[in-house]
Amino acid sequence: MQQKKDKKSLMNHVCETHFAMLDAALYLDTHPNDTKAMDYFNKYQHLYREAQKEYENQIGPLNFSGIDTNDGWTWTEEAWPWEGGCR
Amino acid sequence: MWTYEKRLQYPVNITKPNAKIAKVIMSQFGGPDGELSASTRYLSQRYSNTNKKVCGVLTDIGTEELAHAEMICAIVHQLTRDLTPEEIQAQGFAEYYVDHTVGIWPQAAGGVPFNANQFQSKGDPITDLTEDMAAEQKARSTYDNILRLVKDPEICDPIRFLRERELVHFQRFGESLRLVQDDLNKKNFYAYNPDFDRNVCK
Repeated sequence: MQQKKDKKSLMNHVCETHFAMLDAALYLDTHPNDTKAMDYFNKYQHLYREAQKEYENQIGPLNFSGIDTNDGWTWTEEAWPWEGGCR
Repeated sequence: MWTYEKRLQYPVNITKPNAKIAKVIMSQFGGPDGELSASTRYLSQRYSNTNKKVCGVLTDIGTEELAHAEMICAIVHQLTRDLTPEEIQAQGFAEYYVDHTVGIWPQAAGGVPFNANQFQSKGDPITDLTEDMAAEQKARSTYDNILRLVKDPEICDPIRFLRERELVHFQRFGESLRLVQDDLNKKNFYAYNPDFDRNVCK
């Protein structure tokens, strides 16, 4: 139960930081000279990388580059997102 | 090139199955204003667009729409996965079930299959971006219609997120259209295709 709660909050952190980064990226596509938006993007890009690393260290890989085969083939071990396993 | 990230853009965790609502929501996967149309439309339109900033918008929004299609499929899947044949019958899902069991197949709520005629890739950035703005509004209207029918907060929450994204994308496409129009040569007052009729307008 404790492990499940951790997974949920770690996943939420990945989703939130990625979303902030993505939304800033869309804005910057049409406002490439907005330095305030760029600072915002940089902040969440950093937080997203950290969140992604933390999730992959504690739960499992989010993409191929997060797979560590020293633990075996972990890509298919965790639930798939549509199963509701990411909450 | 794309890579898959093993998560949904926004969490979907539905605990109560409801085939009636699933049939309505699946329209936002394969229906006329659905996410599959949106993604294919934007990603296809990129190649004839010579504005680098607008290509960024089309790529990034087209990619986000793929994540939205996945969310819609997850909602439909979770709404239908634990149904008995009796519940399928009682909840008006038998017509879908007979062809697809409870697998995910792109169709509109009324059963019309996904069709590329639901969108355009015209090769004219002004035409395409005007269509893209309309597409975002049509999807927003569809989400509004869904929200009037759905009361379960577990379903409403991700649907509201998707609805909000339509508003943001509409804004970005509006700015993209402005960028293209700002680039037009003053001689091209009548807005001929700026990427095809180059000798006329550049």
